[in-house]
Amino acid sequence: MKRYDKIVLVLLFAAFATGIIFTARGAMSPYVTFAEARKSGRPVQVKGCAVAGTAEEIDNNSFSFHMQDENGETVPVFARVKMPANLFEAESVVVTGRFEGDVFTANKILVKCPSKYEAEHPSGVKKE
Amino acid sequence: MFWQILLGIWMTAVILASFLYMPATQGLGQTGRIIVYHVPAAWLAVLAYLISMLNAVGYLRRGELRLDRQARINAELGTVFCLVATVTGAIWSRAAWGWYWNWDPRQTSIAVLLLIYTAYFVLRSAVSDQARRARLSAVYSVLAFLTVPFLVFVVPRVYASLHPDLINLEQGSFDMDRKMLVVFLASLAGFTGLYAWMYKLVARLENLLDKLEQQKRGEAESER
Repeated sequence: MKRYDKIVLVLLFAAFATGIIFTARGAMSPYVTFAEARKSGRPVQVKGCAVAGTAEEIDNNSFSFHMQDENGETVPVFARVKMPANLFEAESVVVTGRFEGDVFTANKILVKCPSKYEAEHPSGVKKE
Repeated sequence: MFWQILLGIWMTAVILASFLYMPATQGLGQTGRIIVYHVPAAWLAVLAYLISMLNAVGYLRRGELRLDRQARINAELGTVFCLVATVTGAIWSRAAWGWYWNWDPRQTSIAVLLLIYTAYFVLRSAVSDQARRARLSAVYSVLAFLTVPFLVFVVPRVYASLHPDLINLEQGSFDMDRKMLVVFLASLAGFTGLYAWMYKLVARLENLLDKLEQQKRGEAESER
């Protein structure tokens, strides 16, 4: 390969890399903080943790709880879904929705449990 | 024939072991077993795309149409495995996080990857001249592969993702239960063998079709 070709290839590679990283910023990262969610008029996804002991089941298909986002801000969340059983064991919780006044109203909730590629305890500690 | 039978037995053993020998995973329970299929599929997508790109570079250097065909077949197989990884990932996402699709960085990046390689096939089908098609798609293949390391390895680690990482970058270790690791590595080997076999079959089939075509052309000419 000629030297010129190599330079062109390296430049193309660099252009691709920066292009992806920059365009990716908006497209690739759906998760925002409560502060950003407040500014945005559209439904957004907020990632954080459920604060233990704050859940209140309203009926079979809605509940409320407090969630702390990654900046450490705690906000009351009203969720129009059935309460996930493992909400407080979750390593992170993602709520999708928007602010209605001071309350974040979510119509979708994702729960990620800590997972380790280790065998489950045979003693039956496992919770369903 | 021998190694195909061996591969058949091997994959059967892997499937059985993934349900019977491998323990359920902490936190994920029974759904953790899908790792035996999900990760090898993703790995093979990357491998097939890499080999496709190498063949494309080879074509650009030597101009043999054989290399163009190898590049295309590998891109096809890569896309098949990429789809398998996407679908098993969505199923797993439903089981582990509660929803099939969430536009998590992992999901977005694999969707983009699928689109990039779909465009490769669209490009191929749009050019009818063989040599021209081979040259254009070889250049495109190289560019397409440049995005793979970013989409597969960088983006999901740079942006906050729910997707777990098998490799612990901080400690530089690979955290996995012994039994799981055995089944997982056996599956990785089995899947790689499966890919090699699929490649061989497609290549052989196309060579035979080529010969048939040539024969027909020869007969038509001798009749004239």
